[in-house]
Amino acid sequence: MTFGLSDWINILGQVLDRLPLTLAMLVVSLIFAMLIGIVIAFIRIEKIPVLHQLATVYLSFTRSTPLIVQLFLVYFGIPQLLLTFGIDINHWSRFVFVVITFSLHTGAYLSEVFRSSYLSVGKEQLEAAYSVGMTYPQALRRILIPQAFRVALPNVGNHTIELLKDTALAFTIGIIDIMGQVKLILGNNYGVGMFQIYVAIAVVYWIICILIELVILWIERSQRKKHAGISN
Amino acid sequence: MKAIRILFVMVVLSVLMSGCSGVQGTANDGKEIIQVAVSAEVNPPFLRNDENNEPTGYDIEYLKAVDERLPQYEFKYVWGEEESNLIGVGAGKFDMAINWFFSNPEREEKFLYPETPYGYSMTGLIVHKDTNNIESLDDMTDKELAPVSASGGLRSILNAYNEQNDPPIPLTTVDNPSNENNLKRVESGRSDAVFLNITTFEAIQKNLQLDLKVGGIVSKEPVYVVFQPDHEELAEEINHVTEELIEDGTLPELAEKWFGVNFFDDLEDISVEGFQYE
Repeated sequence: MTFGLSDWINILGQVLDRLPLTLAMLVVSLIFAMLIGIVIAFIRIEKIPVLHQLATVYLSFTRSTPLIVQLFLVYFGIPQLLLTFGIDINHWSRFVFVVITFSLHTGAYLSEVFRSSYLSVGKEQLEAAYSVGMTYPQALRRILIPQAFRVALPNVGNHTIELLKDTALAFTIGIIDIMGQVKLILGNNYGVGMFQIYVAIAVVYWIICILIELVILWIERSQRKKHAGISN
Repeated sequence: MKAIRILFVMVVLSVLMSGCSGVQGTANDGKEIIQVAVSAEVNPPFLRNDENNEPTGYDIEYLKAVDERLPQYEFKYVWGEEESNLIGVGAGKFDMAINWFFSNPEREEKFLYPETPYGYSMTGLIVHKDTNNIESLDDMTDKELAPVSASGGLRSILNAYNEQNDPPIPLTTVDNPSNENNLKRVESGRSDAVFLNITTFEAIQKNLQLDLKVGGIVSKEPVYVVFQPDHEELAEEINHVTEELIEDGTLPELAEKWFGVNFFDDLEDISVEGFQYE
């Protein structure tokens, strides 16, 4: 089988058809991951008793087990567990299960990103804010978060890209994303043309990553404008 | 800020909706819904996807024929990777799974197998056109077999052979071996033979027209649907219908349609018909 231009277009077309699903998984998971990350980071910074220990266990578990194991635990384990309490969630859409898994997974990493960026701002900034009469929420909103945000941004971009590639795992439980489509095409051809198809999918992932990087860069630039200082 | 709020509402709605779309429960127009896990490692003509990514192939047409004769059930097909499907059947997430599952002792312990296979898969050794000394697995003990996957039906046949025979066949294990590469290895002489399903070889050969032939047919493996262990009643009913479908010629007809050969015949008859490629 030789690969003509029409074959390439055909393959790309089939793959791009699934792109909205991949992006939906990415965006929805990312939003929940950020919420989880903020909550966990807050708990760990404030060292809230009980919750703090629970958060530490959650972090340790999520970061030390492979994502595919977590996906199986969420997809097969949680429904089984809830069933013993008489709650049947087996009919939930698989999209929900992957979003739960990816959110929990990325949320753990993001919480550390947020925590470290918050701590990087330094206590003296908070003290300075207090000295001019700000309350803690005011200091948070006007002093700490804007600075922490800038520190966190590159890492958030990193984890977004990581998450994008992780979404390929969704096919394991049968969500046909762009990687799933690739595997189906290969299966239908019995692996014929494997190299060409992998090149096509690599380019697709690469382009999406470049777009993500551009968005991050753009946010970074727009933030820098607000931070005009003497030295930069 | 407003944009963020709108985005948030959209996300919440989409999650709720995707959650609800699945709420069909068990009873839909009175029929019991049977969740059938379909292997995403498609393997035409047993199983493939159509333009809308719906499963089709011999497997699905067989199940549709079964479904027609069991009005109390409605089969619902769910894609998933094989490994994950089998976990799901074990965990009770799916009622049964299909994709030309061979029977082996480990699987039989975990899952419920029906008595009657719904089809057969012929396995064979694919060799170079000029090779004439490889006809069975016995000929492979001092030859080089192209890389094989660590699990799956083909591997379990090889493992069984190696357990019972000495000397064993030397095996190279890789994850996801490419059939195309393996066949080209044999064509170029880097390996002596590929152990493959005849139908798979036939379909690839159509595309690639390599200088290869079937050296010998190794086995005719029955393939089964696997059931969740406590679904004895369902398995019994489907088993019964399968027997009917074989007897009244429905399945042999489907086999002719998808494979061009009625594999319910005896192995000798099929071998004589010949899978020899010009």
